[in-house]
Amino acid sequence: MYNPYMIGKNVYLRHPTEEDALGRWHEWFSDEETCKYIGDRFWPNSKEAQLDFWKSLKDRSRLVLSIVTIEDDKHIGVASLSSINWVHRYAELTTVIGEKEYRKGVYAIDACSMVLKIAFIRLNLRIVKGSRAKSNKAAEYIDRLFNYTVVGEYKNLMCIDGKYDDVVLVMLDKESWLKRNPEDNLVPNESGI
Amino acid sequence: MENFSIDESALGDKLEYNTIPSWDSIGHMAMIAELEDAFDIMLETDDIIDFSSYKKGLELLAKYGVEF
Repeated sequence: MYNPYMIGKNVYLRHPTEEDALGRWHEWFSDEETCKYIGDRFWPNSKEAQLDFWKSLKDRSRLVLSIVTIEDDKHIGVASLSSINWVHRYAELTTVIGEKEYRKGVYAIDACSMVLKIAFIRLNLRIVKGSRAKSNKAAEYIDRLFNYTVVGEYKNLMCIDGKYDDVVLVMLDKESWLKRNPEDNLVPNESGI
Repeated sequence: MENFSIDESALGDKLEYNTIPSWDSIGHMAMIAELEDAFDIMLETDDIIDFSSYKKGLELLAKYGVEF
């Protein structure tokens, strides 16, 4: 493992490297299947554009992390907390497993679990919000597993495979997250922090 | 069984994650959701990830008071 920020069961998260940017990362965001549920990814991506994005990762309103396998140190995806609001203490979570063979595994659950722990414990945020296309079953189950609450939806907002689809808006507060992760509820006096 | 569209005879030590087409990542999450609803339990995230086989699943469910 290189420079781990948080270590999970099968994958770990770390700051993206230049090598990541020059690898297959850009291809994920050109791929039709990968991008079909991502609202603003309809233009071809390039290695140069990915490198520019990597160079821009100094902004403290977002945290972008590479998802890397523990077993063979392979960069398989990217997770982010974006639009971090340090006053109201919320952010938006996105996770993409770019390498398709790893979508069969529980890597997305592992990565989401860590990003939520980072959000609620390490960054002390209150709320994580997100959105998903209604037809995206994988995202629906992830939301269900992590206790997200549906708070609204936009009708017919996205065009997916030639059909208009609703976009579901979801949010997760720290208390709801802790119901599934009670061991992470570190009270300052007990943990010594 | 319903979730994976398999017969009872397929349940056993050899049934593991990704050994049948329906037990992929979406199938896994659907199964966890159904187990939670059926037994009114909430698995911890680590246990969801560790639920890698039928045998392991039975061990994990016992933690939540679900015994077969």
